[in-house]
Amino acid sequence: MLALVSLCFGNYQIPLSHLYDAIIGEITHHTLVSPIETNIIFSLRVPRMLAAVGIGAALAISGTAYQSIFQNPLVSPDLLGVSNGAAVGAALAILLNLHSFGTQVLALLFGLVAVILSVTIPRLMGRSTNLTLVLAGVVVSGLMQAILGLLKYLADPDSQLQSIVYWQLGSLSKVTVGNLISVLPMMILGLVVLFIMRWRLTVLGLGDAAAQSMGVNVAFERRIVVFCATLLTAASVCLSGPIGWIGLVVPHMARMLIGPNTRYSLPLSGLIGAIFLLLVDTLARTLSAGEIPLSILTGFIGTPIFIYILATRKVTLR
Amino acid sequence: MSLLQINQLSFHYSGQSNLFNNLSCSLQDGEILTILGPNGIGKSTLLKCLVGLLKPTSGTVKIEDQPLTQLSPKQLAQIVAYVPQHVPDPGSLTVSDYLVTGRTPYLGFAQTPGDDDYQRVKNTLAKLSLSDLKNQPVNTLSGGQLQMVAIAKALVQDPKLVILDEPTAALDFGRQKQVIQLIQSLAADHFAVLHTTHNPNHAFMLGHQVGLFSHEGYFETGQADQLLTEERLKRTYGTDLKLLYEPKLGRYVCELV
Repeated sequence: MLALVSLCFGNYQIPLSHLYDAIIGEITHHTLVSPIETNIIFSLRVPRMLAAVGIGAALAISGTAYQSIFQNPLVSPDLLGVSNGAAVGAALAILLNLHSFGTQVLALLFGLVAVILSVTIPRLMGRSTNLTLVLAGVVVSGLMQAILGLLKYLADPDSQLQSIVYWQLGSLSKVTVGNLISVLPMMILGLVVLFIMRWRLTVLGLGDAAAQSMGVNVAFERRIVVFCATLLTAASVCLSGPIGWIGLVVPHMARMLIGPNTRYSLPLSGLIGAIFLLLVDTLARTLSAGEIPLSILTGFIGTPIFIYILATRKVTLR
Repeated sequence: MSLLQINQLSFHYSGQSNLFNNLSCSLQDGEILTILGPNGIGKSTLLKCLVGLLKPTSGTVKIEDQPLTQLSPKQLAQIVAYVPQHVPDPGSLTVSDYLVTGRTPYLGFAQTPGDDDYQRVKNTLAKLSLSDLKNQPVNTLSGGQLQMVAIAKALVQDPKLVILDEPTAALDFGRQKQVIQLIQSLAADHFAVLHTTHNPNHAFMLGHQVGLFSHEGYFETGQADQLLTEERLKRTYGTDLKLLYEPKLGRYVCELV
């Protein structure tokens, strides 16, 4: 419902009745509304709505997976450096004039490099605690931002730089049916595998020794979860640029509502993430004449929510 | 066929000398092995070697005549359940949701626990008189309740051998007795139980096999009332103590002097 209603909002407002007519017209092959409206709805807003729903769900589920697997309520795709890592991969692809597939591969590759670095640094220090993992994530994020800065410096200021900078702010305005379809396999693979593993995440979240003594091949399943969560982040970043806060805040909201069992909190997290980004994106294109980059809005909305969660000591993993 | 057969097992952490040497013993269905020994002698390490969490330096562990190294984690977990000394904090998961994780060895990668699994949880809770705790978040339980719940989770795993690392460590007298009685009833139900404790009286109460670590690096096994002599216990714990036969209890009682 919400998704359909969101189709009406934007620079060009479309009344609900026209939306209904447009959909009926499309099904019955009759022209019931103006071609401009039909074009806006089906070429621009439907892909955009689907992208918002998919990316919101992907980032929230990815955050839930990272938090469970690292038994750390403070990590997220952003805080582990994965979003910035994927952004480096995608920016590099812009620089190399690669097509969609190459962009996805590079985003995934650099996302994986970032998460592997974030996990390895505390181990090298000999202290793998919640805090050292978060600190390592901040360090890796910083490194990825520096590389991103270097790529921007090297980019052609007339064409490439502009697209990197705009895309880096996070926006769904350039989403087309084509690039939506191109990231769909990555998105579906990550979502399906993590959904299948939603209960295993609770077992893995009890700790490596506990999970192993219950017959789980911990090293193998851990890698699958990290790979799929990174896949989801990379796919999202390819489509919209990095969008902050969703992967951190939404898993906490789901746990507050339904409890810590990931069998239920993971799907709920996906649902809340989808609705959250749909609302944020609708706001982004209606609040002003131009488009407000999504990360700005998710930051303004996510920060107070996270402060509330912190203040009420609701930051629990399980 | 032995359920558990330990042969010439040695272990040392990297860069350190051997914690234990050439340790051998075996365990059958319905038997209890109580492991005694001073702090830091390697009791918990031995237990971790038996569940595949640590790799012994040399020697073999066989479960139902199969080398431990040839069993998959899943196969092992269907035979052996392990309750560590410090039960990892499962947070605010409900007791029921926590216990059902014990069904993991029987569930496929893509499976979630079903009604049968929850029924098993319910039955186990009823058996241990813990049904009232079913919907309580685990992080609100007392130390004693948590220990009982952790043992319940091990039973939900439907193992043949239950390995408990100091299950009475944090418990008051009453709860200690409850755990000892539970171990007795598990053995009566044909489970094999291997547990560690710091209290020799637990070994006398249970009366089955004892494995005794001593400071000299020896590990001896035998029946509780034969192996646990005053001399051996004094040597093991490096302190003066007395063994008194208590006719009313029909067993020895160990007292510090």
